[in-house]
Amino acid sequence: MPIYDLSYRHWEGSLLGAGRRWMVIAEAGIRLLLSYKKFVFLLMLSWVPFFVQAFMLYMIMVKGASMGFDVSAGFFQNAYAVQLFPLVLVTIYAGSGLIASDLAANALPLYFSKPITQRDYILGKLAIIAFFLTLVYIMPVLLLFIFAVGVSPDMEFVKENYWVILSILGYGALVVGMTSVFIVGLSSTSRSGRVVGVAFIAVVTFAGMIGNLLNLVLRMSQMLALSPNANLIRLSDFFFLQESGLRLHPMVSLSVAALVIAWSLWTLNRRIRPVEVVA
Amino acid sequence: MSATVEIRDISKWYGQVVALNGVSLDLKPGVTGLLGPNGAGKSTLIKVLTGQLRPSRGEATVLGQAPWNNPDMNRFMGFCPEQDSFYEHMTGRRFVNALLSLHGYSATETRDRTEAAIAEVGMSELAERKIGGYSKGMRQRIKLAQAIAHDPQVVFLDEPVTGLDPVGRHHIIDLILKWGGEGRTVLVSSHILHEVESMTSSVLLINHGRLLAEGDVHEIRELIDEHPHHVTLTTSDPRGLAGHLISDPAVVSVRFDEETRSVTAETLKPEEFYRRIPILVTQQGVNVDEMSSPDDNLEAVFDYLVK
Amino acid sequence: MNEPRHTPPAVDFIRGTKATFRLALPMTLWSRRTLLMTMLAVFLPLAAALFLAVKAIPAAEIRTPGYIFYSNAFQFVQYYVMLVALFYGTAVVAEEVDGKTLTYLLIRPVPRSAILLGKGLASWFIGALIIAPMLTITYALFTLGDGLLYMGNASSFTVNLPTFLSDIALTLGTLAVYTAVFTFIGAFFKRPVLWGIAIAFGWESWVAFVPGLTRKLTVMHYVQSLSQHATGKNVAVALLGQQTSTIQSILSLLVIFALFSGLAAWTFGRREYFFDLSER
Repeated sequence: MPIYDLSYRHWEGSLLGAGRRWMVIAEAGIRLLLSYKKFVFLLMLSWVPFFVQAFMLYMIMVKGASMGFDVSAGFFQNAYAVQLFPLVLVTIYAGSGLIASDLAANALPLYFSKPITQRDYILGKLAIIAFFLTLVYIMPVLLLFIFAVGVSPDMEFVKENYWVILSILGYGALVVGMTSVFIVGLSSTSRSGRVVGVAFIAVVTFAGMIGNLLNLVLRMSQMLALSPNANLIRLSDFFFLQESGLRLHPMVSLSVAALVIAWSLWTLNRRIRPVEVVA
Repeated sequence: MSATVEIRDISKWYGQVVALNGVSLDLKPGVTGLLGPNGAGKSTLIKVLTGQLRPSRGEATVLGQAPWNNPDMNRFMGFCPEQDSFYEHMTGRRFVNALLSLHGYSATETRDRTEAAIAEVGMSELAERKIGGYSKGMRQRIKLAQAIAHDPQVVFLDEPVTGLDPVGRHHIIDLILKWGGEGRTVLVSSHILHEVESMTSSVLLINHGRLLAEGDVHEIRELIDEHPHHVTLTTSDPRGLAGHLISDPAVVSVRFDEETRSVTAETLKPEEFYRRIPILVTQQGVNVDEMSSPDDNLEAVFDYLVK
Repeated sequence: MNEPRHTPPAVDFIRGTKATFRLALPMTLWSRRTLLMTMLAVFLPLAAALFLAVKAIPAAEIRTPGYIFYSNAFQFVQYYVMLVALFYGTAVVAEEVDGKTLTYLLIRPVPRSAILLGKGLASWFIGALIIAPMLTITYALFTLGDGLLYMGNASSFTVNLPTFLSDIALTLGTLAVYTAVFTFIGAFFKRPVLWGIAIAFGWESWVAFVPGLTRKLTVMHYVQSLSQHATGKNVAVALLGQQTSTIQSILSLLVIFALFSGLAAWTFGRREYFFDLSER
């Protein structure tokens, strides 16, 4: 009778490729956040503006109601402005503690004792927040556009606004990308998610105030480059081919976005170290 | 001697989780060990006694006062928590001093008491270093210093020797024994059984929120007479000794090992068995080099009670 | 054997508050939070200094008095005050809970309400230490730019000094009220930052300007009513139709302060804090 070897057997199956290991961190983080009922409730609340605007779309395009505006690129640009508040709330809820909690729990050595690199770790964390921001920022506006296409009585809307979907995706990707990198970078600077959350709101709101004040005082419209809101408006003007009247060149706003991303990545590179060289 | 701490039918639950279930006990001056595995309810019991948690049912008194939301009682009570949390930016001295300053002493007295407490735990030379740079053992000592700086009558220590090296552990155990000898009521919680045994013979065994046993560890052991004792004897003739033992009515089973020259007997009547061994040696000429019983200790008692 | 070894002094509410204040003050002062708030506070005087520099350039032709810009800047200060109160107020309890150091405070012979008040006072004090100099320097720089003669009279600095002093009083009073509100938020909610943001940038920023009685449920409405700046009054008159009187505004702010301070003390006094869920 054969005696079977019950001792330890090394895994001989295939391993997840090195380029996909960040997905493990991303999946774990997404599952964890989705297990919080209050967060899921917040995600659901973030979609309320979508239903309101979808109703308005329906009334205008199907029922022919007059609401003082037409359904064009400007409508979808405005839809993004409406989703900004949910974006901020979800960023703070989901993003503040992404790295801060790991620093507080001294979990980095645990992560890097596994075969993952600094890049895998950062990518994984970025993917978590980017997932939820896409869910509450890009998806509602994208679905609004698809809904508009669906309910439009003829092909006129599609003929005139086919390019808007690219604007929606492009602008959305830029904002989600920039916000994700910024909050993850900020999260790596503290061990307290609460401090990161307030610091995020402090920097965003106060920078806006200072930008507006300097514009008022110095009569230099380029000072508005300090205002995140002004930059977002100009970038959306650029993508949706609109004019808000703000005297700020879109390239300046794009440069500010690039600076924010660069700072965040630099901070992450400095703060997330698999190996600490002591001497 | 009246009890310092009295607990009558204390229960504490959080939703569906019952952390303490009908616990009643008295603590008198001296050292008492509170033993149980993780999740047994040790910390919950201590937190109820230190006024941090309100019991869902029952009553607790410390020095005659109910502890919940009774800050005045904290004048006479010291607590060393289990969590390794500090104001990391503070030095050890500043940490003890800052917390002691909340006790209403004058600045001079606060300073003097801080130095005395730091010296007592052996941290005088390291007190000016920031806590963030301390080792685990140093952090533990500073935690103990803040617990006793105000010379409390009752001291609650939640896992006080965790993370200490053997020398540090020995020092802290000596301190605990000293505090108990001074007439303070000291409750020490731990899951490290042999350390509790070295501090006290008076123990409380707790598991799943219930008190399993209370009293002297040896008395508890004797009372559990359904649990068989194992006695191991080392001899040059294990087979022969085993043969003699197997016919003894006090013996339930015998196992021998010629390689290790040992015989392990299982008995339900340990006292009777111990009386027979000298007779075997003298009358039967059996050679016994060594005798030991791994069951006459707390671990065995606990293992039996929790199973 | 059960007699106390010595009789430690009793610690009453006032003594406890003082002791907690002395403990919390240096901790709050030398924190990253304070560093961040101070860095943000530098921008306002910087804007004023830039104004001064630009005004000195004849080609710039800035004829608007600096005091007008100060008036506009004062509106921003109210939001900065809200931010400071949010940052510090929510941290009064939450910081100790996050750091698991609350145990050390709860086992002292200090009433819980005194712990809360002592820490809250320290937070307010640090906030005041940042805001008062910021406002003073901003005022000085903006009004200096108006030169020695302001509208034909004495210097802008002296003419507008009474208004500035009432601004300081109003700002520090607003800071106290908001600190009380956010201290309660920090004591009551598990995620106080989100709730604080919803209140600061949702309720306070929008409801205060909605016509009707609802605005009387905001702190900002009374602050705007008490503000002596033309900008504030214009906003109030134009959008609200009617301001609340000075006496009523002051009383309302006092009531809000007392209410939220009491709620915070009540909440903190009754709450149980768990730091190690595995030990349940």
